[in-house]
This record gives sequence, structure tokens and C-alpha cells, in this order.
Amino acid sequence: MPSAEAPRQGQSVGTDGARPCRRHSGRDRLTGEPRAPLLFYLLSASVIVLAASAAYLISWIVPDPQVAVLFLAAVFACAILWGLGPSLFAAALAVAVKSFFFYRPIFSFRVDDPRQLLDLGVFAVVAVLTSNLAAQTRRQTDAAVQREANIAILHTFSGRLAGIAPVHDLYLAIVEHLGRAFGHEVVLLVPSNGRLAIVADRLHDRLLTGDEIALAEGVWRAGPAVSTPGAATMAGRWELLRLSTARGSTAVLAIDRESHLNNPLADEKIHAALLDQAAVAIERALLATSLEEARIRAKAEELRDAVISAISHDLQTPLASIIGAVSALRRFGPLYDESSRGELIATIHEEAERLDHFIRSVLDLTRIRADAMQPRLEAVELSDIVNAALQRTEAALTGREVTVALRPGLPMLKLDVFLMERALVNLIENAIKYSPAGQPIRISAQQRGAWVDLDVSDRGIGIASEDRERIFGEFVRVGAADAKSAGTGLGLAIVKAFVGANGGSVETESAGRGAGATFRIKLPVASDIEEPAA
Amino acid sequence: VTQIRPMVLVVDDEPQIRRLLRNGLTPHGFDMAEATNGGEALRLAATAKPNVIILDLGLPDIDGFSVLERLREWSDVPIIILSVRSRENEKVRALELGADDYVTKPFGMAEFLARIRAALRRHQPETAVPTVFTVDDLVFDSITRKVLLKGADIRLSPKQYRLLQTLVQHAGKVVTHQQLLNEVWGPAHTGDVQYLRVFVKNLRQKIEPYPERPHYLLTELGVGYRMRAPQ
Repeated sequence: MPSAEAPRQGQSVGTDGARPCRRHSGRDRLTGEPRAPLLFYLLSASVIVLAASAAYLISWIVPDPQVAVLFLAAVFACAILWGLGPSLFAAALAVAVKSFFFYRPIFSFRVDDPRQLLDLGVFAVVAVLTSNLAAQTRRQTDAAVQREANIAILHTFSGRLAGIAPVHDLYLAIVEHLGRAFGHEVVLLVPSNGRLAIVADRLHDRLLTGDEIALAEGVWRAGPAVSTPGAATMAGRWELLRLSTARGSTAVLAIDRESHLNNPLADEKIHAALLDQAAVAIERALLATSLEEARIRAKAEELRDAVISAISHDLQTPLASIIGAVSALRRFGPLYDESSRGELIATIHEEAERLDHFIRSVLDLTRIRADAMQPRLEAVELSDIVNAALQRTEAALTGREVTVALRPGLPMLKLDVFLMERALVNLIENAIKYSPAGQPIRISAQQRGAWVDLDVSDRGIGIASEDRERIFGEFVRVGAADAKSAGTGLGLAIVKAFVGANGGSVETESAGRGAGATFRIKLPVASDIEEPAA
Repeated sequence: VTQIRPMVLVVDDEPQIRRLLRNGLTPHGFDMAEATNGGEALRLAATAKPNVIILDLGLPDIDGFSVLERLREWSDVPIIILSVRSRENEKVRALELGADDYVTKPFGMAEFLARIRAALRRHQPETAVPTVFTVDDLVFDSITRKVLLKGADIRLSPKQYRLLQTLVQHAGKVVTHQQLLNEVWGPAHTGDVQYLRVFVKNLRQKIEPYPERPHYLLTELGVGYRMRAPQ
């Protein structure tokens, strides 16, 4: 029997998931309408009684009134209001009452007049026709209301899904909505690397077993389409539905048939539509993710090319010196005097350290690129970081006056100690590289409002104003003509990335070429560091 | 110590590193045993009776951390990790599994020799529990429970005293954040590194002449703290 469960009496399905009340226990075979309750028969009877009373009153004023018309109107009203059964009942009652009270012989059911039979026939036809017509109209109205409600639900759903950017939130919203619509807890499984994984589940404990997930994977690969009723695969208490779009499967929804939520939407059509919407939203999210991955891959390839070309220079140059010096020492060691041998050994040492430094920089950079750089922000004293960086650069700072001026009473900062130390080491090495030997370097820090400024200043060659932004790029070397400045070209790019990961920024100040430079790391002051009791 | 030449067990699968250590250590009065994998290391640790073990973490058969763990089940011989892995969390893990020190490759031979000697020195039982510990101008007296800086009495809270005591007991050796939290506040507080850092900051205000450039209570960034060892 094709019928939506028609909500009667102006019941409507709203987005709040209100469910149509099931008022009627059975259905009428003629109209498909739900069978009328006893109340409607009683009401019909009272309408006929009312009509009879009216006819009686009128018969006082007008002799021999056309009471049949009054009763016809009553039957008509019953048919519209309460459907077939009550109206047929009303028709029969009307004829009975009419013949008993208004037609001779009065106070008798005997029907002398064939008009009574005719009236009975006319009343019955009116009852059947009118009630059917009314039922049909009601059905159409209900269907229209239902359609409107469904459209409202879908609209709300798709609107919500479209507004969600983080993919995990999208999954949660889908689970939330679908769970409420189905009236069961649901779990969403989305493919990742060719396997299905649970991505969203409202209560976090309704987990599928490994076997159940394997079944879900089967459904995802070749399961029945979502809207095929009765074709769902069961895995334990889970009903598995495949979410698919024109392009294929996007996810599997597992419905926990043992859980029950209040006020589900019982409409299968809307279930199918919601699942379709969810499938499209998930597909869009997966597509966006893979686009992002492709973009990162492309960027990584670009970088790899740059790294390879840099490596050919930065690895081979020191290696050439090392191999040259070592082979000279092995072959002709005794021929050299003490100072030449010392020079060769010093060359080997310096060049090996340069190699080590380069490799560490490349490793740092891959940490940024691989997106593995999730800073661990912890409360730390800036002086700890400055001291560690100075210790690491101790050898390179030999022969220079290093001033450290950290304003006393600096607040503790929330930083990733590893990243900040590397950033500061790179700035110190940069200062060494771009200022003549023996020139002093100054490290200072002070609080300015919500920021702590950490400055590294040198009296070196300075920075031309047009280079101020450019120097933070990868493989950029300014003034590389100076042999001593042959660095990796990665140092400042690493500084920028590492400081950025700590929520800070880095900027430079220089009065221009030859005037020295100051690199300033700005770090945010954390507000939530509690002081322990001693 | 009865041996005149201390025995060093080097565990490393790289022949170049073993050759480097052999040539670098033996002229300085060390005997050397070599293991190329974890299984051999465990065997030699029992039979060669080393005074110190140099352990690489990337071994071909057993993970270096497991070797360390299994050695510590029965031996308290000083173990120095020598590894290319430079991440703080790996240092912390090794130290917490009972390593005495952690040196990253590449390394300078002079510094490495100093670390070996420091580990051997710490291991001598007579220096293990100092009753009065003195380093430069700082005196830690565990009998009178007094701490003096340049002869002046420093008033410490019981927790501050306990923290200092823990570091003094392991002077020269890094004590990880977790070990300190566990020792001073109990196992319920491990993980609260931020708390520890603020605590140390306050303690330094009392015992360090220049708290911004600590001389006694030294930071091993991201790993833990170390008390300066007496010369």
C-alpha cells in the first residue's frame, strides 16, 4: 500500500525531528485512510442528532420542511471531517432518524415511502464520494507538508555540512545528524590509504571489532547501494550502509541497531536523501584533502630539486677539501713541515664541521616540510635557551666579545625549546658569518607589552633594504661572493619557520650595507603559567 | 679500582666508529672490547667485565634501548650512549632507562674522553654519597641540612632542599625532568615539566649569583638539569 504515514490534524514533521503521531491502529480498505476511532462515530451520531433537533425546530416554523436536505448536509459534514466509516454510519442513522421522527408513520421505522430508500441511497453515495474526496485532499496536503518538511531538513543538513571546514568536524556533524534521523547511534567509517577507519562516533565507545570493520570494508567495496531496503549487511549489532556518489563509494555508515534515540525521522526517502548528502559532503572533503596532499607533494618535489642542486655544491665543496687534504697527508705526510700538516688537519676539521652543519640544516628543513613540526610548547626561561645556544656556538664565537643582556625579571615563555634553540643558533651563526672576525655580537631581550623581543646584533656588512624580506627565503645567500659566507642558504629560512611555529615572528633592522644588522625575534608572552608554591 | 687500564666495551655496528674509538681511546690508557650487535654486547658485558660501555642505539639485531634495558636488569656499569639521534625525547628515554650520559655523533674526541672519565669517576663508590658537597662557592651539607653560598646560609623550602639534594647526589650527571618530579613530588606529578621549570627558576634566584647565567644548577635543554661537578 503506497502511503506515507500521513500525519493528521495538522501534524507536521519539523526539523526538530518531531514524529507523526500514530493515532490510528488500522487502515480503511476503501480509501487507504487509517480506520476511524469510535470517537468519530459518536461525533457523527451527535451531528445527526443536532441535524434532527434543527429539523424539529424548523418544522415548528415551516410546515413540512425538506428535512432531507438538512440531513444530507450533516452526512456531508461527517464525510469531510471524519471519513468514510463515520459518514456511512451517519447516513444510515440520518435515514433512520428521518423515517422515525419526520415521516409517516411517525415513531416507526416502517418505510412506506420509496423516497426513503432513495434518500438512503443518495446519502450513502454522498458519504462515499465526499469522504474519498476529502481523504484525497488531505493526503495531498499532508504530502505537501511532508515534502516541505523534508526539503527543510535536507536544506538545513546540507547547509550545515557546507559550512564546516575541518574535516573531522564534518564527520562529527554527519554522525550527529544521521544518528538523530535514524534513531540509532551511528559510526562513520571513511577510507584512508585503502582501508576503512572509524573517523567519527558520538560516544567514542561504540567501536566495531576488527571483523566488523573487515565486513564494512566489504560493503564499502561492493555493498548494496544505500537505498535498497532490506539489502543492508549486518555485522553483529551493526547495520552497514554504503555511502556512495556517482564516482563510487565514499564511506560506510554503521548503525547500532541496539541503541535507540528519541524522535527519529521515520521517512525512508529522507534517510536516503540524507545519506546522499553525507556521501557528497564526504567525497568533497576527501577530494579537498587529496588536492592539498598533491599540492604539498608538488612543493616537496620543488624543494627536493633545490636541495639536490644545493647538495651538489654544499656537499662536494667541503668533501673536495677533505679528500684533498687527507690524500696529501697520507701520501706525502713526512714531506710537510709541522705547520703545513697542522694547516691540512685544520682544513679537514673545519670542512667536516661544515658538512655536519649542512646536514643538520637540511634535516631541520625536512622537519618543517614533512609537517612533522608540531611544536611542544612548554614554559621555559629564555635564559636557558640563550645559554644553550651560546654553548653550542662556543667554538665559532672564539675571539669575539659576546654581550648578553637579558632584562632581569623577564616572564617565562611558552616555547618549543628545541625549535627556539635552533633558531637562535642560526641567528648567532648568521651574525658570525656576516661580520668580520673579532667584531662583537650582542644578544639582548626585553619585554614590550605582550611580546618579548630577543635581539641578535652584529657589526657586520648589514643588509640592503631591498634584501630584508628576501633573506628569509630558502637557498638565498646575500653577498656570497665573500668566500667566508658560503653557508647553506637555509639558516634564516629555518629561523623564520621555527620562530613562526612558536607563535612568534622575526624581523631585521639595518641601517644599510656596512652598518651591521639586528635580527629581532618577537615572542608572545604566555598568560597561563602558574607559579608553584615553594 | 683494581684495574690499572679500565676496560671499555664499544657496541657499534659501524667499523669506522669502532676503529676511531680504538685508535682514540687506547693511547689514553683504556683497554677495549668490541661488539657489533646487541646480542654480542649482552654477552661481552657479562664476560669481558667492562668498566664502561659505549652503546650505539641503532644496532642491527636488537634495538639499543632494549640492550640498555636488559643490561640494567643486572648491571650498574656506567653506560654512555653514542648515537646520531639527537632528539631530546630519545636522550630523555635513554637517561630514564639508566644510561649515564648521552653523546651525539659527530663528536669531538677530547670531550668524549672527558665524559668517559666523568662516568668512571662517578661510579667509584666512595664518591657516591657525599656528606658535604662543595663546588666553587656552593656548599651542600647533608648532615646539618644547610646550604651555603659564599659562606652565607641560604634558606630553602623542604622541596627546594630535596630538589637540590637529588641533583647533588648525581652531580655532573643529567637528571631528567621526570626523575626530578618523581623524586621530589612523587609519581603523581610526573609530566608537570612546566611546574618544575618555574620551580627551578625560583630556586636559582636563591643559589645562583647570576640567575640568568646559572653556574651551579645547569639546564640540559629539553632533557633535565645537572649539578655542576666539583673539579
